[in-house]
Amino acid sequence: MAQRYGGKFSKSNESMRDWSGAKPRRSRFAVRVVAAMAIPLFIAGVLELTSGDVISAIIEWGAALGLGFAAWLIDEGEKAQEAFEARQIAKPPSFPRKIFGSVVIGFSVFAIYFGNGDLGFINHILLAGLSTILALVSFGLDPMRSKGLEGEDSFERERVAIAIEKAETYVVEILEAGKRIGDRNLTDRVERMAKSVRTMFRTIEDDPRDLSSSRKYLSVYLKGARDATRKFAELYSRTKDKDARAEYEALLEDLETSFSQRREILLLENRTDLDVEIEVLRERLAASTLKP
Amino acid sequence: MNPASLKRFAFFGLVIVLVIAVGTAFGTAG
Repeated sequence: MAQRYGGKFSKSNESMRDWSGAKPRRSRFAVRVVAAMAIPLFIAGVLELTSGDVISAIIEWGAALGLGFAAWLIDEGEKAQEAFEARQIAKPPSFPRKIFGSVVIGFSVFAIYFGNGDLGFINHILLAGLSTILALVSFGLDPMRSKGLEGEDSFERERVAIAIEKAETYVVEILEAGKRIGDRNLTDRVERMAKSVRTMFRTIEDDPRDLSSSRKYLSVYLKGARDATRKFAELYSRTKDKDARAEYEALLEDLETSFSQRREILLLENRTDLDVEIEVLRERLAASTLKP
Repeated sequence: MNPASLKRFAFFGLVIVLVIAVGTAFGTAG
Protein backbone atom coordinates (compact mmCIF):
# COMPACT_ATOMS: atom_id res chain seq x y z
CA MET A 1 0.00 0.00 0.00
CA ALA A 2 1.23 3.49 -0.79
CA GLN A 3 2.52 5.41 2.19
CA ARG A 4 2.98 9.12 2.57
CA TYR A 5 6.61 10.18 2.83
CA GLY A 6 7.51 11.48 6.24
CA GLY A 7 8.14 10.42 9.79
CA LYS A 8 8.10 11.59 13.36
CA PHE A 9 10.27 14.60 12.63
CA SER A 10 8.90 15.45 9.20
CA LYS A 11 6.89 18.57 8.59
CA SER A 12 3.23 17.97 7.96
CA ASN A 13 0.82 19.84 5.73
CA GLU A 14 -0.17 21.83 8.77
CA SER A 15 2.89 24.04 8.17
CA MET A 16 0.68 26.07 5.83
CA ARG A 17 -1.10 27.12 8.96
CA ASP A 18 1.95 27.52 11.10
CA TRP A 19 1.02 30.73 12.84
CA SER A 20 4.11 30.48 15.04
CA GLY A 21 2.91 29.15 18.33
CA ALA A 22 -0.72 28.47 17.41
CA LYS A 23 -2.46 25.55 19.08
CA PRO A 24 -3.43 22.62 16.86
CA ARG A 25 -6.92 22.63 15.37
CA ARG A 26 -9.60 21.47 17.75
CA SER A 27 -12.88 20.42 16.20
CA ARG A 28 -11.50 18.65 13.14
CA PHE A 29 -13.06 15.31 14.06
CA ALA A 30 -16.40 16.91 14.92
CA VAL A 31 -16.47 18.76 11.58
CA ARG A 32 -15.78 15.51 9.73
CA VAL A 33 -18.61 13.75 11.56
CA VAL A 34 -21.07 16.46 10.46
CA ALA A 35 -19.80 16.25 6.87
CA ALA A 36 -20.03 12.43 6.94
CA MET A 37 -23.77 12.65 7.77
CA ALA A 38 -24.30 14.02 4.26
CA ILE A 39 -23.39 10.64 2.70
CA PRO A 40 -26.25 8.50 4.13
CA LEU A 41 -28.62 11.42 3.46
CA PHE A 42 -27.58 11.47 -0.17
CA ILE A 43 -28.17 7.68 -0.39
CA ALA A 44 -31.58 8.12 1.26
CA GLY A 45 -32.35 10.68 -1.46
CA VAL A 46 -31.44 8.15 -4.16
CA LEU A 47 -33.74 5.57 -2.51
CA GLU A 48 -36.56 8.15 -2.44
CA LEU A 49 -36.01 8.75 -6.14
CA THR A 50 -36.17 5.04 -6.99
CA SER A 51 -39.45 4.80 -5.09
CA GLY A 52 -40.77 7.71 -7.18
CA ASP A 53 -40.80 10.47 -4.52
CA VAL A 54 -38.95 13.24 -6.34
CA ILE A 55 -39.80 16.03 -3.87
CA SER A 56 -38.41 14.11 -0.85
CA ALA A 57 -35.31 13.18 -2.86
CA ILE A 58 -34.67 16.86 -3.66
CA ILE A 59 -35.22 17.87 -0.01
CA GLU A 60 -32.79 15.19 1.23
CA TRP A 61 -30.13 16.11 -1.31
CA GLY A 62 -30.58 19.76 -0.33
CA ALA A 63 -30.13 18.82 3.34
CA ALA A 64 -27.05 16.74 2.47
CA LEU A 65 -25.56 19.72 0.60
CA GLY A 66 -26.47 21.92 3.57
CA LEU A 67 -24.60 19.69 6.02
CA GLY A 68 -21.54 19.56 3.75
CA PHE A 69 -21.61 23.35 3.34
CA ALA A 70 -22.03 23.82 7.11
CA ALA A 71 -19.04 21.55 7.83
CA TRP A 72 -16.92 23.53 5.36
CA LEU A 73 -18.02 26.85 6.87
CA ILE A 74 -17.24 25.70 10.42
CA ASP A 75 -13.84 24.40 9.29
CA GLU A 76 -13.04 27.77 7.68
CA GLY A 77 -14.25 29.49 10.85
CA GLU A 78 -11.87 27.35 12.92
CA LYS A 79 -8.97 28.36 10.65
CA ALA A 80 -9.86 32.04 10.96
CA GLN A 81 -10.12 31.70 14.74
CA GLU A 82 -6.74 29.98 14.87
CA ALA A 83 -5.14 32.84 12.95
CA PHE A 84 -6.90 35.33 15.22
CA GLU A 85 -5.67 33.61 18.38
CA ALA A 86 -2.06 33.44 17.15
CA ARG A 87 -1.88 37.21 16.69
CA GLN A 88 -1.43 39.80 19.34
CA ILE A 89 -3.22 42.47 17.37
CA ALA A 90 -6.15 41.27 15.32
CA LYS A 91 -9.55 42.23 14.03
CA PRO A 92 -12.34 39.66 14.26
CA PRO A 93 -13.12 37.67 11.08
CA SER A 94 -15.32 39.75 8.78
CA PHE A 95 -17.91 36.96 8.47
CA PRO A 96 -18.92 34.76 11.47
CA ARG A 97 -18.52 31.44 9.67
CA LYS A 98 -18.98 29.14 12.69
CA ILE A 99 -22.25 30.78 13.71
CA PHE A 100 -23.54 30.74 10.15
CA GLY A 101 -22.47 27.07 9.77
CA SER A 102 -24.42 26.14 12.93
CA VAL A 103 -27.52 27.91 11.56
CA VAL A 104 -27.15 26.00 8.27
CA ILE A 105 -27.04 22.73 10.29
CA GLY A 106 -30.37 23.80 11.88
CA PHE A 107 -31.90 24.50 8.45
CA SER A 108 -30.71 21.09 7.17
CA VAL A 109 -32.26 19.26 10.15
CA PHE A 110 -35.49 21.21 9.61
CA ALA A 111 -35.50 20.20 5.92
CA ILE A 112 -34.99 16.50 6.77
CA TYR A 113 -37.82 16.39 9.31
CA PHE A 114 -40.06 18.58 7.17
CA GLY A 115 -39.59 16.26 4.19
CA ASN A 116 -40.00 13.00 6.10
CA GLY A 117 -41.28 13.28 9.63
CA ASP A 118 -44.84 13.79 10.79
CA LEU A 119 -44.01 15.42 14.10
CA GLY A 120 -45.75 18.68 13.28
CA PHE A 121 -44.36 22.03 12.11
CA ILE A 122 -43.63 23.39 15.62
CA ASN A 123 -41.64 20.26 16.56
CA HIS A 124 -39.64 20.53 13.34
CA ILE A 125 -38.72 24.10 14.25
CA LEU A 126 -37.86 23.06 17.81
CA LEU A 127 -35.57 20.27 16.57
CA ALA A 128 -33.90 22.64 14.11
CA GLY A 129 -33.38 25.19 16.92
CA LEU A 130 -32.03 22.50 19.23
CA SER A 131 -29.50 21.33 16.63
CA THR A 132 -28.39 24.94 16.00
CA ILE A 133 -27.87 25.49 19.74
CA LEU A 134 -26.01 22.17 20.12
CA ALA A 135 -23.79 23.05 17.14
CA LEU A 136 -23.10 26.52 18.57
CA VAL A 137 -22.12 25.06 21.94
CA SER A 138 -19.96 22.28 20.49
CA PHE A 139 -18.13 24.40 17.88
CA GLY A 140 -18.14 27.67 19.79
CA LEU A 141 -18.69 31.21 18.55
CA ASP A 142 -16.43 33.15 16.22
CA PRO A 143 -14.22 35.85 17.75
CA MET A 144 -16.36 38.99 17.78
CA ARG A 145 -14.15 41.67 19.26
CA SER A 146 -10.82 42.89 18.02
CA LYS A 147 -7.93 42.33 20.37
CA GLY A 148 -4.82 44.33 21.10
CA LEU A 149 -6.37 47.41 19.49
CA GLU A 150 -7.29 49.15 22.72
CA GLY A 151 -5.05 51.60 24.56
CA GLU A 152 -3.59 54.98 23.76
CA ASP A 153 -2.11 54.08 20.39
CA SER A 154 -5.21 52.27 19.08
CA PHE A 155 -4.96 54.03 15.71
CA GLU A 156 -1.37 52.84 15.27
CA ARG A 157 -2.35 49.33 16.33
CA GLU A 158 -5.16 49.22 13.82
CA ARG A 159 -2.73 50.24 11.08
CA VAL A 160 -0.42 47.42 12.18
CA ALA A 161 -3.28 44.90 12.10
CA ILE A 162 -4.20 45.92 8.54
CA ALA A 163 -0.56 45.85 7.34
CA ILE A 164 0.16 42.45 8.91
CA GLU A 165 -3.05 40.98 7.51
CA LYS A 166 -2.04 42.08 4.01
CA ALA A 167 1.51 40.78 4.51
CA GLU A 168 0.15 37.47 5.80
CA THR A 169 -1.72 36.92 2.51
CA TYR A 170 1.62 37.26 0.69
CA VAL A 171 3.16 34.66 3.02
CA VAL A 172 0.32 32.20 2.39
CA GLU A 173 0.68 32.77 -1.38
CA ILE A 174 4.45 32.20 -1.14
CA LEU A 175 3.84 28.92 0.74
CA GLU A 176 1.26 27.82 -1.82
CA ALA A 177 3.68 28.54 -4.70
CA GLY A 178 6.44 26.79 -2.70
CA LYS A 179 4.39 23.60 -2.63
CA ARG A 180 4.21 23.66 -6.43
CA ILE A 181 8.02 23.61 -6.83
CA GLY A 182 7.97 19.84 -6.44
CA ASP A 183 11.22 19.63 -4.47
CA ARG A 184 10.90 18.79 -0.81
CA ASN A 185 14.14 20.52 0.23
CA LEU A 186 13.23 23.76 -1.50
CA THR A 187 9.69 23.65 -0.11
CA ASP A 188 11.17 23.25 3.37
CA ARG A 189 13.46 26.23 2.74
CA VAL A 190 10.48 28.34 1.71
CA GLU A 191 8.65 27.30 4.89
CA ARG A 192 11.67 28.24 6.99
CA MET A 193 11.81 31.64 5.33
CA ALA A 194 8.07 32.10 6.03
CA LYS A 195 8.66 31.27 9.65
CA SER A 196 11.28 34.00 10.04
CA VAL A 197 8.94 36.46 8.29
CA ARG A 198 6.12 35.60 10.71
CA THR A 199 8.45 36.00 13.67
CA MET A 200 9.11 39.54 12.45
CA PHE A 201 5.34 40.15 12.25
CA ARG A 202 5.02 39.27 15.94
CA THR A 203 7.84 41.72 16.78
CA ILE A 204 6.03 44.53 14.94
CA GLU A 205 2.79 43.66 16.73
CA ASP A 206 4.62 43.92 20.03
CA ASP A 207 5.62 47.49 19.28
CA PRO A 208 3.45 49.24 16.63
CA ARG A 209 5.99 52.07 16.33
CA ASP A 210 8.12 49.63 14.32
CA LEU A 211 5.60 49.63 11.48
CA SER A 212 6.75 52.70 9.55
CA SER A 213 10.37 51.55 9.43
CA SER A 214 9.35 48.03 8.34
CA ARG A 215 6.72 48.81 5.70
CA LYS A 216 9.14 48.04 2.86
CA TYR A 217 9.62 44.56 4.28
CA LEU A 218 5.91 43.92 4.68
CA SER A 219 4.96 44.98 1.18
CA VAL A 220 7.68 45.39 -1.44
CA TYR A 221 9.99 42.54 -0.41
CA LEU A 222 7.22 40.06 0.35
CA LYS A 223 5.40 40.86 -2.89
CA GLY A 224 8.67 40.42 -4.79
CA ALA A 225 9.33 37.12 -2.99
CA ARG A 226 5.84 35.92 -3.90
CA ASP A 227 6.24 36.77 -7.58
CA ALA A 228 9.72 35.22 -7.69
CA THR A 229 8.49 32.02 -6.01
CA ARG A 230 5.55 31.74 -8.42
CA LYS A 231 7.76 32.20 -11.48
CA PHE A 232 10.42 29.84 -10.14
CA ALA A 233 7.83 27.14 -9.27
CA GLU A 234 6.44 27.36 -12.79
CA LEU A 235 9.89 27.20 -14.41
CA TYR A 236 11.49 24.62 -12.15
CA SER A 237 8.60 22.15 -12.23
CA ARG A 238 8.98 22.06 -16.04
CA THR A 239 12.72 22.44 -16.68
CA LYS A 240 14.54 21.52 -13.43
CA ASP A 241 16.98 24.32 -14.31
CA LYS A 242 19.98 24.11 -11.96
CA ASP A 243 21.10 27.74 -12.42
CA ALA A 244 17.62 29.03 -11.61
CA ARG A 245 17.56 26.80 -8.54
CA ALA A 246 20.88 28.18 -7.30
CA GLU A 247 19.70 31.75 -7.85
CA TYR A 248 16.40 31.09 -6.11
CA GLU A 249 18.18 29.45 -3.17
CA ALA A 250 20.41 32.53 -2.87
CA LEU A 251 17.31 34.74 -2.89
CA LEU A 252 15.71 32.65 -0.11
CA GLU A 253 18.90 32.90 1.91
CA ASP A 254 18.99 36.70 1.46
CA LEU A 255 15.35 37.05 2.40
CA GLU A 256 15.68 34.90 5.49
CA THR A 257 18.78 36.79 6.63
CA SER A 258 17.37 40.24 5.96
CA PHE A 259 14.09 39.49 7.74
CA SER A 260 15.82 38.11 10.82
CA GLN A 261 18.32 41.02 10.80
CA ARG A 262 15.44 43.47 10.54
CA ARG A 263 13.83 41.78 13.54
CA GLU A 264 17.05 42.08 15.52
CA ILE A 265 17.31 45.77 14.63
CA LEU A 266 13.71 46.32 15.79
CA LEU A 267 14.43 44.57 19.08
CA LEU A 268 17.59 46.61 19.48
CA GLU A 269 15.65 49.85 18.82
CA ASN A 270 13.14 48.81 21.50
CA ARG A 271 16.04 48.18 23.85
CA THR A 272 17.54 51.59 23.06
CA ASP A 273 14.16 53.23 23.74
CA LEU A 274 14.03 51.47 27.09
CA ASP A 275 17.59 52.51 27.93
CA VAL A 276 16.81 56.15 27.10
CA GLU A 277 13.64 56.08 29.21
CA ILE A 278 15.49 54.55 32.17
CA GLU A 279 18.34 57.06 31.82
CA VAL A 280 15.98 60.07 31.67
CA LEU A 281 14.01 58.82 34.67
CA ARG A 282 17.14 58.17 36.72
CA GLU A 283 18.53 61.62 35.90
CA ARG A 284 15.26 63.24 36.98
CA LEU A 285 15.19 61.18 40.17
CA ALA A 286 18.78 62.14 40.90
CA ALA A 287 17.98 65.82 40.25
CA SER A 288 14.99 65.80 42.60
CA THR A 289 16.89 64.07 45.40
CA LEU A 290 19.63 66.71 45.11
CA LYS A 291 17.10 69.52 45.65
CA PRO A 292 16.57 70.48 49.25
CA MET B 1 -19.48 21.20 34.16
CA ASN B 2 -16.28 22.50 32.59
CA PRO B 3 -16.41 24.03 29.08
CA ALA B 4 -14.63 21.07 27.43
CA SER B 5 -17.14 18.56 28.86
CA LEU B 6 -20.03 20.82 27.86
CA LYS B 7 -18.67 20.98 24.31
CA ARG B 8 -18.36 17.19 24.16
CA PHE B 9 -21.83 16.75 25.62
CA ALA B 10 -23.32 19.16 23.07
CA PHE B 11 -21.51 17.42 20.25
CA PHE B 12 -22.92 14.03 21.27
CA GLY B 13 -26.37 15.60 21.42
CA LEU B 14 -25.89 17.03 17.94
CA VAL B 15 -24.76 13.66 16.59
CA ILE B 16 -27.83 11.96 18.11
CA VAL B 17 -30.20 14.54 16.55
CA LEU B 18 -28.46 14.15 13.18
CA VAL B 19 -28.48 10.33 13.33
CA ILE B 20 -32.21 10.29 14.19
CA ALA B 21 -32.85 12.75 11.33
CA VAL B 22 -30.91 10.61 8.86
CA GLY B 23 -32.64 7.50 10.22
CA THR B 24 -36.03 9.16 9.63
CA ALA B 25 -35.01 9.94 6.07
CA PHE B 26 -34.05 6.28 5.53
CA GLY B 27 -37.25 5.09 7.23
CA THR B 28 -39.47 6.91 4.75
CA ALA B 29 -37.26 6.01 1.80
CA GLY B 30 -37.17 2.29 2.56
